[in-house]
Amino acid sequence: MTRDSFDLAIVGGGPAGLAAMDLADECGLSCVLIDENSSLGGRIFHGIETDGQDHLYGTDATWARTLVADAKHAGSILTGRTVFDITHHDDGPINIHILGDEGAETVLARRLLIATGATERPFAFPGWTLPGVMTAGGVQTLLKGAAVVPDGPVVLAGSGPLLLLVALQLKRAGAQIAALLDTTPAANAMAAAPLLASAAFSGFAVWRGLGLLMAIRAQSIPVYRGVTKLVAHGEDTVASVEFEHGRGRRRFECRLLVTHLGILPDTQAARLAGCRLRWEPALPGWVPIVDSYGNTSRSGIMIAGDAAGIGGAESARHAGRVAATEAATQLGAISMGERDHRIAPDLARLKRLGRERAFLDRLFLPPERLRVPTDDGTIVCRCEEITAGELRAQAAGGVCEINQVKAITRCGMGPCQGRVCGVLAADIIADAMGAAVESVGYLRVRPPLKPVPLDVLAARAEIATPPPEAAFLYTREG
Amino acid sequence: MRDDPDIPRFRQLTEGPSVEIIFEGTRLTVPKGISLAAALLLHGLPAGRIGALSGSQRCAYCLIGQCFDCTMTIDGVPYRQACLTPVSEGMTAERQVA
Repeated sequence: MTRDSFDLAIVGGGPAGLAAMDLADECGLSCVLIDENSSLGGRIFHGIETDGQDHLYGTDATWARTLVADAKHAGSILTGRTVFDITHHDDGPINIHILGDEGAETVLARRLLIATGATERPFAFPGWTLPGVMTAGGVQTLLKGAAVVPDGPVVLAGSGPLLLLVALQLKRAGAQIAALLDTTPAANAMAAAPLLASAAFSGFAVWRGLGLLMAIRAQSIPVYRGVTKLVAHGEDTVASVEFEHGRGRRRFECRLLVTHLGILPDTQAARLAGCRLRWEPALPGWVPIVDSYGNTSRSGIMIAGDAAGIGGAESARHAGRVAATEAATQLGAISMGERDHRIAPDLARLKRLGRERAFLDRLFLPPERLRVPTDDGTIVCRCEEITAGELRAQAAGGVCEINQVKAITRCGMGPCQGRVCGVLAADIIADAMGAAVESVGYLRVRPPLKPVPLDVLAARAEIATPPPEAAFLYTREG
Repeated sequence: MRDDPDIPRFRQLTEGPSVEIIFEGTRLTVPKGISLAAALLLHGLPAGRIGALSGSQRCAYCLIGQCFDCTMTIDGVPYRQACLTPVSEGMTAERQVA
């Protein structure tokens, strides 16, 4: 079934998507917002529509709730729908193919805004596939969306603001925290110091971070710094975690190991749509190429928020407003002068927020020794169970491009389609070759973006057999 | 299998309305509106797929729809993500090889 055509379709109901929806409506555009979750808020504001847990979102709770409420009056909301393909032929509308409980549908739109947010950087070490190892974002999602907290001793390991925040939130929720293992290298603080003053005067991130550290100390959470060589032990589930700290090895028993190594843009939909990416050394990672209005290398397709590069929730909200206003300008709903007038405060705020982001990026920059598992037996591709050693063997044999590695080893070919292992595998290959990660490339994404029952696909002949001229959509260069 | 000591344990902070779901033939009372993955974790049950290669039990890992370790057959449809699927009255769920 094909739905009505919209001026703007937005994929992702986080701060960028919600703010874009509101602005687009204000500019007179018809819009639709699609999200695979059953409620709005995105990953950062997951569960914001549920009462009683405002403390989990800090001072952002108020504006996040307003965004959700405003977006609901601004157009059609399609939650619980997964985008499985994006096609765009000639000058026609962009086709966004979605799957929900009622089956597959196609949304037509003149402009598409991808606002799929961020995903966690993979943190691979021996034992990371054991039940009981979870990402910090995942554990926070359980808390925000279901008020579910771990019972039994918890160890948190890794680096980044989210790990610290989750440690504090779990402790305040009554969880038993055995240890917080901080893997941030001591040298990071020195390297980030020159950026501190500019960041501190640009926003609240530095002050919030200080408050977080003080709160962790006040809660008496045992913190171990400069942690390396993490190993999770257990037969059927994680039972203990071993690590190196100072000169010795230590071990803590735990029922849950929470890991985190920073976040990266979720570029799966952007790559499917054929948007070109560039290497961003500050993350380090791949980010879509966008101009200051959110336009990508594909005409009609825009990206805003963390999906375009990590900036945080407040940045995402401003970027969403900018992108929606730009879409309205391109569609003739408002003039360029009106656009510039509307978005001037947003662009100014984005610039300031960028300064504190530069500090945070440098402070928590993950070193190569954490991004590349040293043990050859460590699983890299959780789906196809390909190990670091198998990838290094490919590098030794001269296979140096990530899509070739995928074709030969099946790394990245399982149900998750390389969402978790893609950047990890590229880091390993680059390290083994002594080459720059950007020369290894990134995984191509092909439809379907997520699994679709075959009977659904079969009923949609135009997707089962795309016209040959559409094939260029799925090449790396777009 | 219920309250298997080998599966990580979780508890809920709040109390509210509940629904009944059927996990591999066993009726479970779970909080209304939460994800299937969260509901199974609350019961100490394996919220995840059986690895297609090693046969090892996996459990929800990312809980944001990325990793597919919580892939399950839900209401008869395979390859669905338990972390993105809210529980509903009478929902059936089974582990699957994936």
